[in-house]
Amino acid sequence: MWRFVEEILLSGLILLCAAVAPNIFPAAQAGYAPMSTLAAWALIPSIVVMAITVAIAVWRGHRRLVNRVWVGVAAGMLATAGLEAVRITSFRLFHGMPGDLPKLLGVLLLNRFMLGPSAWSNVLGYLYHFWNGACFGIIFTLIFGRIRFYWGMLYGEVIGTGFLLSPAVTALGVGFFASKMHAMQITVWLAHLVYGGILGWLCQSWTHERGWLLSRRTNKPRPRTDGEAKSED
Amino acid sequence: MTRLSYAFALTAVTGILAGGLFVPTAKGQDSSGTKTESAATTAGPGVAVTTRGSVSQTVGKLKKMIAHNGMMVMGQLNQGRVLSMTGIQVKSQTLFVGNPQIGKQLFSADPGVGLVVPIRINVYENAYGQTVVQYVPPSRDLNQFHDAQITMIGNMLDQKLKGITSMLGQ
Repeated sequence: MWRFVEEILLSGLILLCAAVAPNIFPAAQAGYAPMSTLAAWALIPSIVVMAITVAIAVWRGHRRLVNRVWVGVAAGMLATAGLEAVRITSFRLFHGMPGDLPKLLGVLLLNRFMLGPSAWSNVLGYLYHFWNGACFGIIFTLIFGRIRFYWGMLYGEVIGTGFLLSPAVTALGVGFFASKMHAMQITVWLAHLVYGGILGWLCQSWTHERGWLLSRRTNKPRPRTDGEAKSED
Repeated sequence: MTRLSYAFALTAVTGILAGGLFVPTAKGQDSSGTKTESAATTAGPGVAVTTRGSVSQTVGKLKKMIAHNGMMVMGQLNQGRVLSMTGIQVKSQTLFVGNPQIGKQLFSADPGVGLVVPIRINVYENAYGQTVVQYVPPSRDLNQFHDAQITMIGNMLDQKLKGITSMLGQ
């Protein structure tokens, strides 16, 4: 019982840390604090605390939790690459976004809006965007465990809709919920559908155990796929 | 696990993210609890609004209102802090305010608009200890470009700024 409680506590701490990155951009755009300040005082500490918590989970042998964190990070980052493919295509070819979001994130992180983007700010902006994707991946795998990929698509759409509703979009001058820029709404929904699809598919393939956050371990091994069964035959 | 459980779990995710994805923007309230009082005038170089909060409180409140009105603070110059190097003590901060969409339209029409945008909003403490928010209505300078689109955007920016500064007095 204690091991289960310990796993829940560690999972809760990791979830809290994962929720920091996606929230600093809307908070900064709403005018609560510069993003550079939020990055220094909230984002970096959250990454450090998460790393320590995962290390404790590895040390204490919480294999289900560790598997879910790594799957969340890897699947989230790969899914963000899919999201980026849609976003860049829409931005470059169809002017479907008001600006280049990772570049904006970079100048906000380094507090150099007036100077514009630099190579370093672009790298940081993309790193932040991919870390955001990883955090959403961690949240997905920790809470849901191994589920069918289409739940990932629904999850992606929840994230996309949440983004459109956030002050981050309003501050870009496209109106609440991007009501003055329908191309952006379509881009965001489509990009997050791709993100969710990739995330859901990878999590379905890589996560070892079923069961959501509060369910006890089943100790049931992952069923073999058709391919694995055939190769053994 | 049933699908119902997953739907419940999805709701839990939304709860986790709710901390910031739905961060409310200020709608004229003073987060510090300080009462504000405003009086807009057009005397001097621009429109001036007097508030009762301190300069830093007013700047904080102004930033939230700018975000709520679909604009961004692109830069901030703490003129008081810069001038402290010369030995003078003043409380004055300048915000440079813009919007990517409006900027795109203005600069496409005439790259010379860089003289006027981003808009400067100055917040300072006057000789009577009052905090003043002051700006030059953008239309005043943008009209000089004699371009219908630029003029229209200038008038729209005037309305936006009027809305933002009038909210300071609510």
